Amino acid sequence: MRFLHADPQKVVLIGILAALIVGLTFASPHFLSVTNFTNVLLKVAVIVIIASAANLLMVTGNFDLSVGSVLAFSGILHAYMSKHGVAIELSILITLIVAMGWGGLNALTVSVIGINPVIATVGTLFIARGFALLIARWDGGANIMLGLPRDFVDFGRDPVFGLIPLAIVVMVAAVGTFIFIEKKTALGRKAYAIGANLKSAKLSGINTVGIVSLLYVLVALFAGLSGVLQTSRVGLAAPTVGKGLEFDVIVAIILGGTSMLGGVGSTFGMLLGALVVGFTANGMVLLGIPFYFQTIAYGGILIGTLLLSRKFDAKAAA
Amino acid sequence: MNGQDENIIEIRGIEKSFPGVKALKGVSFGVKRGTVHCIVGENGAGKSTFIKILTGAQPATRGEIKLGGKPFSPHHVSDAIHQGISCLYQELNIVDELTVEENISLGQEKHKFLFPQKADNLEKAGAILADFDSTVSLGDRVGSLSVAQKQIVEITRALVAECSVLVMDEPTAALSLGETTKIMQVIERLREAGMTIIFISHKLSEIFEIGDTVTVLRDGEMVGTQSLEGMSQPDLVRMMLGKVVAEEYIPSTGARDQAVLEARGVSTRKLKDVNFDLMKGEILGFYGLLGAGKTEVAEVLFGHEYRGEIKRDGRVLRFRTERDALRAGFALVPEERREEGIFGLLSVMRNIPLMNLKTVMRRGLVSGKAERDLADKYIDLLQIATSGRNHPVALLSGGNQQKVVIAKCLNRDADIILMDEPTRGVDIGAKQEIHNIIRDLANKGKSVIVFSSELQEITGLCDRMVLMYDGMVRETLRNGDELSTDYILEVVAGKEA
Amino acid sequence: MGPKSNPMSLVKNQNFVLLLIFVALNVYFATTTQSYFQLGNYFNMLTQNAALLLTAAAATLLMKTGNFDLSTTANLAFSGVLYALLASWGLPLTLAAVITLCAGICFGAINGLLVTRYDISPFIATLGMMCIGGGAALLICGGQSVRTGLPDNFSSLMQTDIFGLPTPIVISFVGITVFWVAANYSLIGKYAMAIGSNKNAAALAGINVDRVVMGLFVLVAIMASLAGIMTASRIGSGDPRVAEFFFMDVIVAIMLGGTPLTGGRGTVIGTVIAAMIVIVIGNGLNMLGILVFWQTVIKGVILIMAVTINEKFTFSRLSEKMSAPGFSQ
Repeated sequence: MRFLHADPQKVVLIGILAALIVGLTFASPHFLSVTNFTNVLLKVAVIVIIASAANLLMVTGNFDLSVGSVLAFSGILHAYMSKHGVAIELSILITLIVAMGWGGLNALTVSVIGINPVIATVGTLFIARGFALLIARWDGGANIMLGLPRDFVDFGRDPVFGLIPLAIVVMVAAVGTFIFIEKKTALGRKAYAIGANLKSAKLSGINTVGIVSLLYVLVALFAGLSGVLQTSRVGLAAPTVGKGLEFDVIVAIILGGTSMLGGVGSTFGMLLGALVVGFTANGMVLLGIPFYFQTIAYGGILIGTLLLSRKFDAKAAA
Repeated sequence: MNGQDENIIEIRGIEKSFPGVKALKGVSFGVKRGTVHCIVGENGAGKSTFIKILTGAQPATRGEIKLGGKPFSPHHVSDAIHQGISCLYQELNIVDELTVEENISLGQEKHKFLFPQKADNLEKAGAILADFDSTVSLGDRVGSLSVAQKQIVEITRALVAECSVLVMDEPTAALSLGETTKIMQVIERLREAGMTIIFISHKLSEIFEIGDTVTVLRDGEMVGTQSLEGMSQPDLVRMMLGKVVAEEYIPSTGARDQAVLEARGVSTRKLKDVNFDLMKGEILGFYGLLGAGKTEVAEVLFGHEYRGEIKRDGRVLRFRTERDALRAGFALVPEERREEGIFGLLSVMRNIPLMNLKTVMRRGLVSGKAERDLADKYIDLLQIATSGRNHPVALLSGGNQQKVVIAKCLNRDADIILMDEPTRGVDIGAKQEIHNIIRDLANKGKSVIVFSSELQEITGLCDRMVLMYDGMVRETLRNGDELSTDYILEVVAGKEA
Repeated sequence: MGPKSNPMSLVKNQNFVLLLIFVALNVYFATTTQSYFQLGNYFNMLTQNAALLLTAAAATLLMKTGNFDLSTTANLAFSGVLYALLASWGLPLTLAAVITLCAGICFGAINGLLVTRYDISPFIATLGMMCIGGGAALLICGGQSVRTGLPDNFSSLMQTDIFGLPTPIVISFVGITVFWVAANYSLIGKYAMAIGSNKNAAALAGINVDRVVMGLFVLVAIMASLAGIMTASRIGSGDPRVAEFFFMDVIVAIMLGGTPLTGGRGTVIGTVIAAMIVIVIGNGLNMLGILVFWQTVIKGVILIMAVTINEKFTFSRLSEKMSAPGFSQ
């Protein structure tokens, strides 16, 4: 009972997740297999990697709508440089630094100047997307696919220890890092404080501008990293990928129980949220349900989970 | 029958339960027509809940109310307004973006197809308003008015709505002395005109000045309803508390001969040539009316720009941000607890170390054990009443929230502690405890500056007091036997020293 | 209520600045390109964006209450597809439009219900409806846009004239006027302002806050649905993937126009001028022959710059006004 009281949303999510896994195991013979689970994890990896950082950003009461564009831009930039003779490692490094630059832009507009994040990060969304399209055009086409060096794709496809795909390893590392930050570091404590009460945080001597800025840069860094990973794995850089990714990220975070106003939330909850979305999508594919039902289910889960946890909340309080 | 004629409101056995709490446990009394009926009680006594029931903002769980002999059970605020009960709530319930006129008619407009008709009571509104404050006109945007003026607009709105009963919840909390006097006169006039007023205030002097009858609530129960005639202030306090708390000034024990802070000729847009010293181990009080410049002094000490010179141990201070001030050994307990002090969503344990996270860090990481120990230490030290260190601060009572803010500040271990209205909205018992904490700090060699608009707090607590008027320091007094409160009041009211 | 002498000076100023930018842009494009400053081009711009202007004007009222709607894109797509589908089944266009609008209302009703009754934040509620509506649009047409079997007069709504003005321009002009009057002279505008500025005060004054918010969600939904019908007529088919960034354009126009996400301020005129600025930039850059990708970049830069200037402008004036209360800014 006390557990319910503590966090109804997580309980609801774990329930849904369990029901999904049990249900799908019976419904589809292909569900319970390593290949399929790897598939699901690869799909959610992009979201979870970005959402790990974005979750803590949302805990401070801010959010970033430019992640999809930064991901596309980074993928294109990495492919463009690799194709034109820059060493893979150097290319990745440069890409990640430039990606952090986009985060820096968001930090400047939102945190330093104080523009509403909706407008400021939508501005970055347009600019980064525009440059992604421009780089692809400078390369001479719509996508960058031909002429990529061999080790470009090797980086994304060679499994770690010959076993686990790199994206999944990075995902686990990202989640681990942010659970650690959330529980054990001053950064985590301060992020929650900023989200709970910005004015109090300032008066308590917390560098609010610096911390929010740092988190914007981290989010962009992780978006850039996802871009590099995705492009490498697929072997193709398209400037149009990641449209709507910002909403996937936000949905996972909100499903996980983080408030848009800040102060509440957890990385673990976000992971649960992303997995629920991932397994739902996977189940629908396995059951041969047309793709457009997925988006409907998406919206349904989002609203449904919140309504359910509201109900639990009310009951626990009564 | 007779009693019903006399009593405009008859309250019988009102109860109100919230999940887990019983806020009102059977309140019954009658309100005589044409009187000022006061309701008093400490925080958490159930006054606010009672008002919400009376004005239709919340339904009662049990019990009945009769208004003018007829059963009265409003389902909505507008029900109560239509039946003649208007209320001025504690928080300003007024829309900054609209004009005075629009605010007065808000929600009550006569309209055709949603297009408002010219209001017929405009003249009346204008007359009432002019009566209160001739500088406010109906066309002014409310956002440009002062807090007191906004309140006047609210009162006008209630009067225009032709209420027969006016409920006033702490109407004078944000008003200056002059404005308070004005409001008191208005209440007097309203009573003469036959209006019934239900008056809630923390300030006992006001109750005795204006009230006819008083109902005392304690912990959701009704202690009694009595005529105020022949009643003494200690009697009333005894009813409220069950015990009498009188605070007497006890000097801080330190030598208080070494200045840690010297302000010379400090000026800002609001302050004019402010000078004062702060001694080591001293409690220095700043007293003045609203707008006298107390808050501005606190702001200057915590990072706002100023002209002039503030020296800390001989070095001139120039802070650019709050963090500079903290680094220089200052800590602030801000005036607005909810907005600037607590982190409501976070637990007591998470709140306390936030001004000085180093105290819970071990080898660069947050230590759960250190955090728990620290929380337990302060919960114990300050007697914070909480169900546990994991309890969210937002759910604590006002006094305990304030203690959490103080704990956060103490944990900073600053040498100079600024406390802006340290006991505002705190009930009397907790107030005493907070005063003890402050005195303790001074005795340990810290220097404390208390900014307060409550004279009792200043005279009961501070070793010296700086009296401010209109952005200037009028006089600095040493606390002691021959202190005259009348004199202090004259000084802060503007009399030349 | 109505325009008062001094109180609205701040907002008016903001609109004035926006208007100056708008005029400057027009002068610039008129002098640098030949085909820009022509009646035909303006008609073209307005026809293409009539749906946006209409929806943004209505959504300004909603945003004044501190609420907003992300599901307008989904509603637009869904309504466009449904309208085309109904038309392709041989229903008279008027009937098809009426049925579509009724279906579109559902978006507003559900949004409003989730926000008012179940107290879910507008961001999440309308984000959920964005997903559901977008899926529903694809669902009813099986993922393919509706092109075949449409009646000959399907596109006539957008191609006819009224008194020499293209019909969509007339529709949006009438709509904007109605919303402007509603915002400035009716109780709806006043109540929306009151709710956004101080919800508690509005409720205590006896305003049925839930009903007003609900009504405005429905109003925005009707306009988004109408926008869907207009768009389907304009492109001559029901495309479930049309106007992907519609909701963003709507919100950006409103915010650029001086209405914050938290509500309490804002004007319909500001929204319309801001929307026109964005539209004119797109069109003018096209005329200059600038690559469409650069336009995306420029749009982002202008967005950030415009809001920065706007916020700084407002802030300096506000800080002058607020001097006494509040510590640390």
